[in-house]
Amino acid sequence: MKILVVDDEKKIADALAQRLGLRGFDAEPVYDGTSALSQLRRDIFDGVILDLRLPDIDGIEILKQTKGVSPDIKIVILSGHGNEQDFNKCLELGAVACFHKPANILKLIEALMGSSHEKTSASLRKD
Amino acid sequence: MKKLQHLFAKIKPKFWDIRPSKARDQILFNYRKVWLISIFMLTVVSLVPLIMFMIFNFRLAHEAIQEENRMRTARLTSNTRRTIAYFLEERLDALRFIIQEKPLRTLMNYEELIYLLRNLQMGFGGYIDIGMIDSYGTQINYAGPFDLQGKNYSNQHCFIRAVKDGACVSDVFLGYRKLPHMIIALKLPRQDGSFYILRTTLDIQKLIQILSSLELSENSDAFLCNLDGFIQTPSKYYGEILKKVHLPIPKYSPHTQVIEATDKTGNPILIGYAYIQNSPFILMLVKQSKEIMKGWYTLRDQMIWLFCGSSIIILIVIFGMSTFMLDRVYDADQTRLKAMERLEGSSRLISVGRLAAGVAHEINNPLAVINENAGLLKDLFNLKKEYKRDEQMMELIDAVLESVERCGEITRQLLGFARHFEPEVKPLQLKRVLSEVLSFHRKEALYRNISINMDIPEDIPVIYSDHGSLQQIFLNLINNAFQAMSDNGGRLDIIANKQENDTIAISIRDNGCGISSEDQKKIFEPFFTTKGLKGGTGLGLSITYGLVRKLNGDISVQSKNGEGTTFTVTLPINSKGDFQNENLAR
Repeated sequence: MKILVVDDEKKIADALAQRLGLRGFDAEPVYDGTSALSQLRRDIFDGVILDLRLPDIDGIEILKQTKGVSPDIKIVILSGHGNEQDFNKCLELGAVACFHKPANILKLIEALMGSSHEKTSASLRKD
Repeated sequence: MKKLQHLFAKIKPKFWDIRPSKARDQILFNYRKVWLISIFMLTVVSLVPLIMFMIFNFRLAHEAIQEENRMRTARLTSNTRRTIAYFLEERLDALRFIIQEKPLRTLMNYEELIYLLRNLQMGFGGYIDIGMIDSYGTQINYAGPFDLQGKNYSNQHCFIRAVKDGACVSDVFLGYRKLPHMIIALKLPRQDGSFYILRTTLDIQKLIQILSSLELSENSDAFLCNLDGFIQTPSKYYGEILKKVHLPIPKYSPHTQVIEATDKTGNPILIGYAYIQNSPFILMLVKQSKEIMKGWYTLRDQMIWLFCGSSIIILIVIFGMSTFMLDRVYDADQTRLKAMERLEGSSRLISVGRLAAGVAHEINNPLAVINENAGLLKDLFNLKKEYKRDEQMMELIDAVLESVERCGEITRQLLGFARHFEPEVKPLQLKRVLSEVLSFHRKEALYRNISINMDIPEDIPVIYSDHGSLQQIFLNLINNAFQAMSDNGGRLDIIANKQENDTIAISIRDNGCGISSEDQKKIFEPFFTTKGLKGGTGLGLSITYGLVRKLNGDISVQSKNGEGTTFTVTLPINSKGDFQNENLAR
């Protein structure tokens, strides 16, 4: 599975991508919205792990655009800042799951692999 | 004594014991001073005009009554003087009549004179004797009880006066039988220039009668005295007859006069006097001032009582109103202070909440960094056999990861906590909210043997309301319920029902000490507490009430002293987010 990891914190994006790699995913880290969009245009990805707070473009905007281009892509929101309203909005816009940082990697993977298009329930569950 | 203290406690103003010690107190103003000043000013403003008016009235009344008395006395004296003058003139007129009527020779005749005397006595009364005196002063004819034939009167005052003035009225002397008499004489001029004097002695009974018929009061006295001050008719209080009067002799005046004087014991008296013309008499009418002013004293006493009564009422009203109003101001100010405190508190909480949220958000990122890197470290360790076998290495990594998870839990809770201070409408499960609140009390319930029953039907609809406010409401009510129950155990029931008008009623019932019916009316009032000794602020239920109203709900209480209490909160299922401003001052 090809996963795009979008987070403005380089250390997080890199580590997460590497860990996913060790688990059999083909993960690529990017650090801002523009790069994310251009990568998504260049390649076909099966899933995205997306941070809401990005330096250039709002995460929600990325979500909208990506879902617009590839409606089947599995987008998992991973954010340090989001509140309930934001997460609900993401789910409505088509995110598969929303997590607060720090998140358990197994849960992330579970969401990415999750039985097709089944939206997991909102964010505030305990990880 | 206790009752008196109790009374004092009741009327003492609420703010009496408050001293504005520090500026930090922010009490609006020094209540004691304002209260004292306001009472003082109101008293002055209302009583001073009253006093002035009363004094003015007094003076007016006093003068009017005095004037009235003087007038009355003057009138009486005048009338009496006229009567006496008329009486004396009448006696003289009788003689004039005789002179006209009878020829001289009749008057010279002894028998005729006796006859005349008898007729006079029968007709007028009071004539003791009668005599004719020639121009040399010799009494040439005399009828009467004395032996005065031939007596010479040429040196007599009355004879000389009669010769000069044509008539004379003498003053009183002790005469026949040692009784007081007076003489009147009339000149009989003849054509040839000579004259005779017709002289009679009168007794003064009639005069005395005139004076005694005056209907004076007991303490008043009317009598005659002569120009030298010797009493002529009997006086009750001011001296003996023919002795000097015990009063100052008034100055001559052709009119009746009324003067104020004091008698010999110092009592104030009013003297009405008149010089009776053509006679040596002064009429004196003496009244005791004390007596005639009796009416005035009564009036004065009444006015004083009225004034005292009014003053007392005025003072009571001023005192009562000032205290009442200042109490209300004090109450309002206290409410304001407490509301400000609460506002500060809640805004502090909101700031803390926002701070906590901010911190949590900020920490989440570095936590994520630790998480991913430690995780990666573990993943990498797992790949290398020698690390994988090293238990200590794995434990260290696991310890780091575990701590990260704990931190994550804490920040999550922080974020959850922070959210509750901004009121927002959410769908809520009542059962869950109540369970959350009850969880604070589970341990206590266990220790104190309090059984908790939740009777919430499954089909209770989801309520749209503010989580934080609901938590606070139920927390307060459940706290109160726990406080009401004894340590030996009790029972707490929580019952929820959907009601017809799209509201849900939640009842929290305890079997604690209950609330008396008078207290029930006051429990939602700010600062009302029955837990004063335990440090109760009296604000819990007042805040709860405010919160319930903010959510467009209602709260009521049912209780019986000694049996238990039930608080019932009714909330609309869908409040549409239209929250009222918190009612800071009920």
